[in-house]
Amino acid sequence: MTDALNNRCSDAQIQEILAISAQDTLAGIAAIDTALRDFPKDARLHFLKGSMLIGEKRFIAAHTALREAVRLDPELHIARFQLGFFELTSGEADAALASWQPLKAALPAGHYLQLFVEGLEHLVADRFAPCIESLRAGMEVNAENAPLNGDMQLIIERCRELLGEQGPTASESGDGEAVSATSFLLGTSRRLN
Amino acid sequence: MKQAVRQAVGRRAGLSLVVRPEREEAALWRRFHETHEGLLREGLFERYRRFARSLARRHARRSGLRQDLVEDLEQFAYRGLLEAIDRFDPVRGSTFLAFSSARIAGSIVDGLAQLDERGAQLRFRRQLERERLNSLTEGQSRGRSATEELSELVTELALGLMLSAQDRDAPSDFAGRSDNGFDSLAWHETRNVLGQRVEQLPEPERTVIRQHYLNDLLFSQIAAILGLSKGRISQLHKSALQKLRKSMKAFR
Repeated sequence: MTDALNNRCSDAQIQEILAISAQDTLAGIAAIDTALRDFPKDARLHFLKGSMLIGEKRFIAAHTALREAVRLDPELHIARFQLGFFELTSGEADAALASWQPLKAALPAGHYLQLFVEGLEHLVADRFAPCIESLRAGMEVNAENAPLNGDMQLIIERCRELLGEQGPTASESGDGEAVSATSFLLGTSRRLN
Repeated sequence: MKQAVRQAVGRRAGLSLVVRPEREEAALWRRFHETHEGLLREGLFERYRRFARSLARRHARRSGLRQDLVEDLEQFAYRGLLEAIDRFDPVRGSTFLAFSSARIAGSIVDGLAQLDERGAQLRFRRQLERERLNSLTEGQSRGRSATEELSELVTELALGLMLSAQDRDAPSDFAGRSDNGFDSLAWHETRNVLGQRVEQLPEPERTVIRQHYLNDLLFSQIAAILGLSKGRISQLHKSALQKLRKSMKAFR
């Protein structure tokens, strides 16, 4: 089945959008909107748009886009993880846990997203040592999305500081979601499927 | 990072480590925009209350307002803030602080105008009452006991109050207490009779009473209308109320 018949834009078009976004985020968002006119049901486009909107601090529109991506393709696991992570960083812990819930059944034990979710659940419950342990385990097996490791490392450092430990300081980029999404889409279109 | 750690103390520490305030604020707006739930409105109000208060205080400082008016200004600012919360569209992209600033400032200015008007009304009301009292206490004595004089004065002042309340529906409106059905009926009946007695007053006393009590004109203004002195209006006022007192005594 072709991408067009499958309501998905081509990988080449995705690559083109990513190239534009690398130069100019707003132009990248405009390119995504153009592509969405032809492929409104392509969850990857909504996911990428949501991730870029976070970088532009358009948080409400970003949440809408991420939610739409998950609705259109419940098996796009990275989008589901990022939706939950965005909700967590927005102070909506319950919503985050609900968004992540299907990941537990869908992913194999030991998958890095599975471990990250496990660690973040510990974090929400103020269990800092197990949180650090799970996040570290996830980072060790995550070979496909390096930017996510950066986010998790930052959380580990904050936990260590809270526990009275000192660690190397990681910088907070503020647009980790966009980098992570780009990394995912550059590396593989649907490796997680 | 240290700030995040400090914030973590005393509440859900783990969540505090990762929450970013600007995202949290946006989430609050998103949920409020979707549901218009009262608790979320209160959350937004609390989030921006200090901002509104600071605008009110800044306005008070710049305008050199008295300290006792600052609280009024804060209330006007809060009113503007609540209006802004209900009208703000968070999806459009502008920040709430930018959106609300003009509305809060507008509410302060509007409220200040009302405050000035109310202050003027209070001063005016006091002047009216002083004129009445002066008029009724002029030339007291003439062989009657102090108790008799005081009784008459109180009755005349009460009649004045009743005349002033002609446009109100119930005694509780000016008596400051709740009324029962009998009180209300008695009030309406007495008021109607009083209105009839006023219409039976000779001119120019009738005009003095009507303009002063029903249209809130000062004695000087009535004097200008009738071409009489202010002192003469005061005498006419006193005379008219004495007649009303006597006729209403017969009614009772």
